[in-house]
Amino acid sequence: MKTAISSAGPGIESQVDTRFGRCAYFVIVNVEGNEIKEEKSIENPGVNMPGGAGISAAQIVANEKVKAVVSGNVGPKAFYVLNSLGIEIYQAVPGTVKENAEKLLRNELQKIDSGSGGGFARGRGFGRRF
Amino acid sequence: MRIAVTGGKGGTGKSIVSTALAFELSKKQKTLLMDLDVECPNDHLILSIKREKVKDIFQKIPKFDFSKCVKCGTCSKVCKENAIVFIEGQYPRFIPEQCTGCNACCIACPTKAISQTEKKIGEIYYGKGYGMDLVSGEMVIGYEEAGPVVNAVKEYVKKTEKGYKHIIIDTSAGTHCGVISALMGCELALCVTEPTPFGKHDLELILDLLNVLGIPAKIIINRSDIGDKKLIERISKKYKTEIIGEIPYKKSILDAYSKGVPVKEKEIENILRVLK
Repeated sequence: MKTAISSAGPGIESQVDTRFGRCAYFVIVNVEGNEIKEEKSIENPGVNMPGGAGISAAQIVANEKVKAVVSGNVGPKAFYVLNSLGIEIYQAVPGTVKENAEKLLRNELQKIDSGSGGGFARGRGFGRRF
Repeated sequence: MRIAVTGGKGGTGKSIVSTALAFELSKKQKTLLMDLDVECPNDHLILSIKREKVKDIFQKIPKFDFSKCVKCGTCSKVCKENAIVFIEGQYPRFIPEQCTGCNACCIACPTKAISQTEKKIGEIYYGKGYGMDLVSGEMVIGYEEAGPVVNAVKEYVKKTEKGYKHIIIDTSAGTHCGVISALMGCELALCVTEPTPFGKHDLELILDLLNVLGIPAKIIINRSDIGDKKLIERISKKYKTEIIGEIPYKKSILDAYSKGVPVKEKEIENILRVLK
């Protein structure tokens, strides 16, 4: 199963970042049978977006054709997009991307069924729009 | 004169001061009170004015005709708000809450598969009382952008505003786009604050904003006898902005407030005297 894991840096040894829309990188791994294959790391442009970072992130990982996302705080809009695309969302645990992928492989990560936080309280600066 | 009542921090008494000033001014001259705190307008409650809806406010949003869509993703690329999600090989997904109605997708679509439709974002109300006119804007629940609603209310009064000697604009708290939209075009901003670290902090934010907007500011300290007035006096000095009024914490103000009648205090009259 192709999976995107939100992370603080590139590569499978990086620490996970529990923010979905505003994490630094997405590490794409393939979790199949007993194997974890690292595919690539994508820099997340959403880090500096004034708004809609979660939506943008969902679009990025969906275009990588992932079937699952391992992250923490997936906001309501990103959740809506991922859900409508049939992409499963799993709650990340503190540790590296690799450790989370291993836990996913062993079915030890909790599936998230609803969007959390973010969205309506996002960090929009003043003067963004008149 | 077009005067904004603002202040940064919430709950400092902006609406009390706005309604009290409008009440005093309307005794002699034609006055319009605009409640542009569109997230939670309540000047009509403070004054017990029965208001009636006069207009719905709409915003343009795109409408997709998938029979013409070639799944090129251009609409998603041009959308600065990330309101259109495009996944290769699929039709675009539209997230209406994110849309600000800029129309870029409509213009950019190579096959003209996007037309415009509308969504309701707010309502405009009108009421009369104590010789003043009250216009207030109210956002629909769930909509996030106050700016377009504020601007629609300003547009609505444009035709009639020349008939008023005074326009008092009650803004919401903060320094966000809804406040900026309300402040634009004002000749003076009265910053109502309170003598607390919160009041001081947010007062600085609004004074910085007013500086950028080039609108002259004056400070009014509400509940001036509780807290530490020096906090505000220091800001007044730092920003070279005069404190033109101090309103103490008084039972008579609370009485008027709870009865739904305008606050009538000599401190309010004093503020107007200083302004003249």
